[in-house]
Amino acid sequence: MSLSHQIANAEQAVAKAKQELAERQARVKQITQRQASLQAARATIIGERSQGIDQADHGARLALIQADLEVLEPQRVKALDAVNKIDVASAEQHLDQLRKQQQLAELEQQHSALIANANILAAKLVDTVTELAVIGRQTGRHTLGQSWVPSQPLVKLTQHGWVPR
Amino acid sequence: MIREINGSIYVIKKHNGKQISQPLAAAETETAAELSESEHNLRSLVERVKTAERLVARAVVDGTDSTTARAGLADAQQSLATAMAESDAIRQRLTDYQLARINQRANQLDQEQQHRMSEFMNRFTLELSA
Repeated sequence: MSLSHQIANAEQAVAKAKQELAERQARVKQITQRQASLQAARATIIGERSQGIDQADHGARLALIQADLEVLEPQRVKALDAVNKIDVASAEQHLDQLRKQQQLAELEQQHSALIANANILAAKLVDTVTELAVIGRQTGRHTLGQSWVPSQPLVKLTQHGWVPR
Repeated sequence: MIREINGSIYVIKKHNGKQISQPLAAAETETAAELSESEHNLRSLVERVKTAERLVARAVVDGTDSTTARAGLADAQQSLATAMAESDAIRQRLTDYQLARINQRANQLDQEQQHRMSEFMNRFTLELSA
């Protein structure tokens, strides 16, 4: 599988992980909101009863609220556990590593292309200077220096293997 | 059928006897929804088979005629098998769309990289070719 394919796959994995995380977080939020709503309803009933307002269905409603809350809590724990199982960071890290690999591969490719290009240019320079020397001699210039001298950057480059830009 | 038209990928399908082309992303969303519905249906059918199995078991234990219960079970099992095959086909279709999208993205990445490389080397080879 090419590096581009691996990156495309990793991008897909990150997008999927993020989507699943959002869905699972929404599920936790939904349960939490339902719990809060039930607790508010329970608090209202308790408040009414403490004020002496006693309705016939208070007891039944409280029992129902309690039963719902008991069902919801394990659901919330399970949903939260599902959220924690989604590892977006690992997926992103993997994608990042692949992108770095691609950058390195691209630099290697540029390096090889530049070497090939430098070899072509060097051969052209040798051909040019050789022809220059031949024509120079025919026109009375007996040393190459009378026709052409390499530029200072080129001299530095050939002497030190590096030239500042 | 998946086709590339002007650099974009489309799903070619028949709708009301006419051939239509739908953008890949839309087809993928639609198929994902279809798969979700199909899996929901499968879960219901599994429950139906379980119920039918219980009915047969009860008839056997009670020593009553189990013909109707067995027919019900066979019917439920047949429906489940059909639904499973349909679900597999939808899942395969979704996988094909996802692969097509990943391939398209990989091609795009390759083209971008080739373009960058070409731009980079232009700095060094233009004067020579001129």
